[in-house]
Amino acid sequence: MGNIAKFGIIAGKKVDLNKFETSLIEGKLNPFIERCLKEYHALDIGHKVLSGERLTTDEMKFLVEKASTGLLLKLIELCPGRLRELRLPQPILVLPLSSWLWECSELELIERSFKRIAECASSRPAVLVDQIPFERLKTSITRLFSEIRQRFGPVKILGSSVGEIMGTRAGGSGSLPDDLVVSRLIQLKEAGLSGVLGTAATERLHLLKEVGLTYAVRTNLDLISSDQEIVDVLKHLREVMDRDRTLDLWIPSLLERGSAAAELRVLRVAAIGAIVLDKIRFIRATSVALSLEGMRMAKRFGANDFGYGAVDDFTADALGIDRIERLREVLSKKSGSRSRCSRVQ
Amino acid sequence: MKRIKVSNTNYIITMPYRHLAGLDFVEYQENSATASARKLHEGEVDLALIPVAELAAHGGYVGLNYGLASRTGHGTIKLYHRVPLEGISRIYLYQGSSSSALLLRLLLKRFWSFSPMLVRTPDYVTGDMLARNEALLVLDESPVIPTCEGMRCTDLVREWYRVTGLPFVALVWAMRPGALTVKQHQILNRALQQSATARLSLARPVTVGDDVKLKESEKYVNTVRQAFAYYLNSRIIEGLQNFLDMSADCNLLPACRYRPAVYSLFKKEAGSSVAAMPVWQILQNVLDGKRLDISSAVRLARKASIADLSMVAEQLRSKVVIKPSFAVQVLHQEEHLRDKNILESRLQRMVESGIKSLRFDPQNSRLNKIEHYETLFHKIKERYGLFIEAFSVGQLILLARRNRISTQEAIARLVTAGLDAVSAEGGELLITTRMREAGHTSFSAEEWLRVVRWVHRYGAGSCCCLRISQNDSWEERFVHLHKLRLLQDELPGFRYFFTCGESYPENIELHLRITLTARIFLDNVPLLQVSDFDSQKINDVLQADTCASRLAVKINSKESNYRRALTAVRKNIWLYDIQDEKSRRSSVSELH
Repeated sequence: MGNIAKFGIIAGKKVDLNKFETSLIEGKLNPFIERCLKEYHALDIGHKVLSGERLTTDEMKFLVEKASTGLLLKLIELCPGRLRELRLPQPILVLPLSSWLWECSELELIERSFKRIAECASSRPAVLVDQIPFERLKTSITRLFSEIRQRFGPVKILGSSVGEIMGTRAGGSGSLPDDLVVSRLIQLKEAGLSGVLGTAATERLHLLKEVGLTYAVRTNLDLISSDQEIVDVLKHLREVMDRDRTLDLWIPSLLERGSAAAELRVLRVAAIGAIVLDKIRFIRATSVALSLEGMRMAKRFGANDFGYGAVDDFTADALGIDRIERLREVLSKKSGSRSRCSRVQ
Repeated sequence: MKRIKVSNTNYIITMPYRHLAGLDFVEYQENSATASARKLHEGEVDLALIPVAELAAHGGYVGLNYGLASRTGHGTIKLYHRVPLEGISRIYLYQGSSSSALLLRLLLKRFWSFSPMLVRTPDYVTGDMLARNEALLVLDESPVIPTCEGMRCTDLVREWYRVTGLPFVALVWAMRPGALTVKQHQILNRALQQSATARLSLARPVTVGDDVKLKESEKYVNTVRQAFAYYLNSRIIEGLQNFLDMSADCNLLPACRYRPAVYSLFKKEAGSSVAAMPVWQILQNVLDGKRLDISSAVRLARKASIADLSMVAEQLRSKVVIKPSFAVQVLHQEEHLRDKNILESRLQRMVESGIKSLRFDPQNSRLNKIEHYETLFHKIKERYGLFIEAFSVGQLILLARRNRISTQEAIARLVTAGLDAVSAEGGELLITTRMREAGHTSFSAEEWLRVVRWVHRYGAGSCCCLRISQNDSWEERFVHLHKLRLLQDELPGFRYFFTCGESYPENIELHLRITLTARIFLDNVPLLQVSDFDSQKINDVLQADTCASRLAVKINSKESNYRRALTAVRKNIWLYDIQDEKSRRSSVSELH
């Protein structure tokens, strides 16, 4: 089809044919790909991925345990309809309410927040509050959020996780009954909260969706020690995805950036997620877990959301992420070679 | 009309092509055949008369249907020897031999039943210097070579004709598609035609010495008229294609179809009548063990996905190593090697900690007496048996110069004393003009290759590399790799290959792409190494994961405890291996 047809329909889904220049001949895998997949004992998996058919648990396990990086990259390319929208990194700013609320009065709290947001208002950052104590919700917090919106317009205000919002340990909100969780979430929503950054608590996703708060599911791989656990996590996510249709964005990550080997593990798990979580809209590459180089490679591993970049050094340190300017620079710059006047065709 | 640079060869037999110098849009020059090919590869000329071996090695040129062919089997490629062919153990090849050397190798592999060592030699080697079971391959442009009188002579072109019945093409006028306009090609075609018919008056042997009789000289001119063709008709092209196909079958060359320059109605520049092979088919050929030409490699590098390149590199690696190894060297500075006590204690610690390889980086300003290094290496070898890697090519040249000996002699002495390998420094991109830009002014690309050739010839090893720079074009990279590959074919000695250069986030994909395609192209250097492996760098880990066979780490000799340093290195590598523990895919073995 060469350069004339840019898009085609494969397995009922619109696909970008330029990606398939080397992979398909008349809708089927070319002999080179067939041969490679056979060599990797992954021919059946390749055909299933191409046709959009779901992989079994054993096949998921094979990918986690045995698939080489080259094979995973190829399977990502073969996934049909993976023209998911690309979300470039958004600027974010942290307001450390955990300390400010106790240090200063309500007015001072608002002033400090205004000052911090004003310094980077032109980049229109999302605002992340690190803690929302419920005893101050109806007073200082609500007023703060309201003043911010009045002054700076429709700012996205985020909390870091459901557990932290509840003032419990991460994942601790599981012990509270649903109706109490819902009532608190509604209060937060009415106070002005837009959503949460990431949560591991998949059992409460439907509550977040009901209330209208945005969220993401985060899996910290440093808490997972075996391949089987990764398979179990992916299986569970697929069930949540099917059952509630509540899984829009998944973040395979680490608690904090580690070695490059750990980074590669995150990328590989992201790739496997992109292959097996067929209904998910976004898989996030976050600079919490990945270096700038890793972020640059992440798209090849199936990531299509690049999370947030810090607008100031305080935010960068607090969240362990890179500055937004640098992230955008790295992700948008084309890499290529000088072309010589003498052309090889 | 834009001017074009044209390179003819400086052989008597191609003198008729001097006619091209008279064209007003041509900047004419003459070089040896291999130099002409190099200039064409590197873009210094637009059109050149090049060996057919270089035509196939590049794969991206079109031909003008003119060159130099032998119709009836008489050629100028002669093998002089004293014993029958089967008794020859070593053949010396003249310096610029390309198609000649290829013809010899094809005959050896396909039709003759013996395998002598092939050694490239300076042109001053003559027949009377040979031992009884040695032979000399020459480009014989005169009726008789005085120093080979009395020796047997095998005409390789006649041999080719005998076994195939086809003409042999040694040289072809070649260019990149688009180098000439239609009008320029028409004018050049006319000039080439005139050259072919004017050969009688131009081809008189001008180097006939005083002692050669006139009768023999006239006989030679008549032979030339009957034997050689300058226009490549269909039969001659059939012979050319046959030669290329057979060489490809024997894996001496990448597969190549001769493509004449053709012009389409819409394009005013010469194109090719043959459609380019799809990228997947190129990759398939690589997996089948077929050699890649420069043009196909450039296409792969530009168009193949990282996924495809990774899969091929992984499969190539698995044919060579079951799992990657890691290697540790202790890096010694010049001043430590001059203090006997410090040196001995450090070497002893090395041996006790199990590290067997040392690397020595002398300072240029302190390179003086060669005897000092000879004594040092000899002692280290005798007492500790360590592997010694030292000197760059530039340092060998400098050392030779300061000791007023030839570089060849300096290498021979150092290797005899115990030098095991030299470093790749200076050979990051073997294109002389680009080397000058990078500040390497003391030697050219060809000198670097010549020195390394001597290193290999004397039994020591070296390594080769490619720099990562966005300022280099893909073609430049593969021309560089082609030179390395050719050298390795002739005189294997490169122990491993690595990529080098500053790594930063924006170029990580380029770095990986360069490394993967280089791995695929350099099919005769089995190991790809990640030098100074750092498990904190995703770039290094990705290479280790997809294509590298060796992870190398250097310990500074100043380290007080080599065992502790080695443990830290193992932990460094083990961090990479954490993935192994959880994923049970691959693991790393040690190799010092």
